[in-house]
This record gives sequence, C-alpha cells and structure tokens, in this order.
Amino acid sequence: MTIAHVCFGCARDLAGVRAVRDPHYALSLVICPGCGKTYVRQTHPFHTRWIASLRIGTAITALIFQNAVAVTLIFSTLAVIAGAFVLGYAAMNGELTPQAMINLGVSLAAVSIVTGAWLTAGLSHISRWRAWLGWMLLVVLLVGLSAAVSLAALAGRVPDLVSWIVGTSVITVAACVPLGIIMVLALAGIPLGKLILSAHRAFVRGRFRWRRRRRALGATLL
Amino acid sequence: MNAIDPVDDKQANVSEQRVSVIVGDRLCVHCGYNLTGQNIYREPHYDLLIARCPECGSVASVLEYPVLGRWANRWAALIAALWVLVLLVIWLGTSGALFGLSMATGAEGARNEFRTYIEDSYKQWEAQQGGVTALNTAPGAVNTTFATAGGTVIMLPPGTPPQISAFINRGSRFAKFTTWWSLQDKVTLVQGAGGVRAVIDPRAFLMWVPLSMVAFILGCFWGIALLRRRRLGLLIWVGVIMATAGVYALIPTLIWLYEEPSYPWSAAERIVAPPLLVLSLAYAVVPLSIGVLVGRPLARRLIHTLLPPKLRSSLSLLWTTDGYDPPRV
Repeated sequence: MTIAHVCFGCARDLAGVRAVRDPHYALSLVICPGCGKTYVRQTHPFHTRWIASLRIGTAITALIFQNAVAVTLIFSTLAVIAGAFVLGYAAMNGELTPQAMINLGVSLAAVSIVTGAWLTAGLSHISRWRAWLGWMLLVVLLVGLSAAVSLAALAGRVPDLVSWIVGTSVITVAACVPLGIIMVLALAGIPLGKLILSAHRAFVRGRFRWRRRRRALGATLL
Repeated sequence: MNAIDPVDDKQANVSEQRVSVIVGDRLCVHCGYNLTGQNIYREPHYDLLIARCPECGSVASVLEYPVLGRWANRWAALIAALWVLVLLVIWLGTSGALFGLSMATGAEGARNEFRTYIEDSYKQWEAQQGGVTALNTAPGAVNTTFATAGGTVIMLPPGTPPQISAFINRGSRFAKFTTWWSLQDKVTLVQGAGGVRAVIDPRAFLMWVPLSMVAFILGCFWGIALLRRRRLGLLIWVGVIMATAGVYALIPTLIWLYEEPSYPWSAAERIVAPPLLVLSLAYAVVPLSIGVLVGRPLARRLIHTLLPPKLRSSLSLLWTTDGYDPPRV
C-alpha cells in the first residue's frame, strides 16, 4: 500500500497518480487530476531506509549463498581428490572394486559439472580465465594446507621438517592430477551455467516489466 | 539527471520570488553540500518552493512529507539496542571461544608418560605409608586385601553394604594422593620425569590450528562490525577481548591454586596446563589481531570477487568508512 499523498487544493489522494519527470528541474512531479496543482513526489524516509535495508539484506544473502556454494564445492573437490588417493592406494594393493570406481566416477562428474556451472553463472562478473585459474589455485593451496596439517597430526610428534615439507609437496603435486581431470570435465558445466544465467536474467527482466505494468495499471484505475 | 548548469543565487531566475532562508542542516541530494543559509524561492513554473545548491546547481524541493509518527525513531532505537546486545553476546562468546580452545590445549598438554610417572611415584609412596582400610565384618562379606603397613583398619559393623566399604577405601585413596601431592616439590617432579620436553606433549599444539582459525574468523567479524574504529581502536578492542578471556582463565587457575588434585591425571594437568593456557592465550592475540586488521579489506575483496557490481553498491559502507570510493556499478 502506497503512503497517502493528499492534494492541498482539493484533498484528492494522489498516492496512485504516477509521477512524471519535469523538464525544467528534473524533479518527480505529481499533478493533481482534480485541481491541477503540482507537487513533488518524494519518498518517505521510512520507506527509503526500508528499501536500503532490503538491498543490503539481498546483498548479504547473495554473499552468504555464494560463500556456501564455494565452501561446499571446495570440500566436495577435496573429498573427490582424497577418494582418488584412496582408490589409487587400493589399486596398488589389488583391492580395487568396480563399485568404488563407479562411485568415484559419478562423484567426480557431478562435482565437475556443478563447479563449471557455478564458475560460469556465479562468477559471471569476472573474466573466465581469472575465475578458473583462481579457483584451481585456491584448491591446490587448500590441498597443501590440509596435507601439511594431516601429516603433522599423523606423525604423532613434531615431524622432521624436511620429510614434512617433502610429504606435503608430493601430496600437493599428486592432487593436481585429479584436480586437472575435474577442471577439464568442468568445461561441460559451462552450457549449464549459461542457461542458469539467462534464466536468471529473464526472471529479473520479467519481474521488472510486471512491476512497471502493475504501476501503470494502478495509475489508470485512479 | 539534471541538465541545469551550476549556478549561484545571483544566477537564479529573476522571476523566482525569494520567500525564506534555510536555517537548519539540509544536504543537497546530488552532491551532499549543506544548503544551510541558502535562499528558498517560489519558482514560477509550478509555484513550488525550491532551493538551489550553490555547488552543483541542483534544484531541491523543500516540500516534503512529514514523518508519519514516532515509530521510525522507536524502531531505530530498538534495532540499535538489539545490535548492541548481539555485539555484547558475541564479545563474551569470542573471549569464551578463545579461552576454551586455549584450555583444551592445556588439558591435552600433559604426556601420558608423565601421568604414569606421577602414578608410579605415588604408588611407591603409598606402599611405604600404608592406608585406611574399611573391613566389612558382615558374615560372608569379601574384603580386598590392602597393603596396610603402618596404616589404619576401620571395622564396619555387620550388615554394612559392601558399597560403603568400597566408597571409604576409594575416598581414603584420593585423600592420600592429595596428601602426597602437597608434599611434592613440583620442579623436582618435572625434572625427575625428564624435564619440560618430556612432560609437555607437542601434539597439544595441534589445537593451535583451530585456535588460529577461530581467532582469525572472529577477528574478521570484529573488524567488520566495528566499522567506525580505526586500526588503533581495533587493536584496543583485541586487548579488551583478551582481557575478558584472561578473566575466564582465572576460574581454572584459582581452582588449580587452591584445590589439591585427587588423582594422577589431574595432577599432571595441574603442572602442564597453566603455562600452556597462558601461552595459548598469548598466541591467540596474533591471529585475532591479524583478523581485525585484515577483516575489512578481506570482506571488500570477497564482495568484489563473489558479488556482481549491482549488489556491491549496497555494501558500499565498507568502502566509504575507510575513505575509499564506493564500488562502481
């Protein structure tokens, strides 16, 4: 419900009258259809602050959503890389089962496609090569970090520094193989990301048009 | 939006009738210049009251809605009070989290070998001293045999449940451990166990990984929440948080000081935990300080990376508060 805006001349409520941009001062003017008096349409401070709060809320929600997706994808990618290591170890011991391979393949494909779609749709405002390269570097960094912490914890005491650094480096370099496969498969997620992006844009455009039509309808009725 | 060139009052249209003067603070909606002291005119086109900004020449209407009621201010006060309450809770929570993780480092700090060493030392002493033994004289009751050389034997009346004699035996053991502990020179005990390195378990320092992460994240939160504080103010706030964590740390410290331990595990903790607690709290200052200092730049970088330009502008306060230009749309 719009705030009442009563004409001082004829007491008609101008709340539903659409404002026009005046050519002289660029002010939003409302001309009373009853007596022809002119008023300036100004937004009520309460309404302005409410709209500003809603905008901040939307931005924070989007930030939380983006962070949640990023964190989920990071952990999923780390889990798939760890799964690939476990599978490699099982293969060396001759304990590899077809079911384990299928499970890893499905997880790898799912994580890759979602990653590709998110890097395309969620980070569409930054150049593609920066988004993809940055993402890869972030995952490699986190693999190295988790490897360093895990090795320190597994050693049972403060580990020998050289073997700790070598172990961490070997794990990090080895993780680049499954990560590379994920990033190559992620290319398949680009069309999905583009589809999500155009669907979102169409939704926003549609909502904007609907609001404009509704406003125009309200003005006509009054 | 405004096609009119910057003008001053002298350039105002001659047909505009000067009505009054702005005496209060009123900012130009375009450039933010304070219009106080500017003339109010009755303009000829629409008969509206206007003022001109002498800086950018924008025309500002001085007709506006009156505020509907007092509820806007009431809501603002309520929201501000809630925000202060939330910050208060998070402040106590931050100190509690840092204290808890530091305490965990201290609790995990004693080596099992040191605990065993204390227990063995005590058992040797106990074997020499004897003890209090509660014998149940009930017909058919089974009594455990204790080393009672020089000790006391309490004869319980017939019909006493066996749980009572077990309770007295256990209680006397705890009491004896406390007595033994009070006789010990702690420095000699640590040296006897092989020195500080043999007493402290280095794996306890792995607890510093979550401590660093939690302190850094909470530091980032405070860096963003205390928007108006500059670097020095933020570092003072770190001091306040750590002082509160220090107050929390007084509780176990006082218990350690005034209550003797009753079993080897708590005795080992009593020697190792206090220095580790203090060390961990001192260490927590580093990630917390880094967090408060990089919190805002990190948030700006995160917003820049994760949000499209349209949404960034709503959070422009993070830029303007540090004197930067707001993010461009």
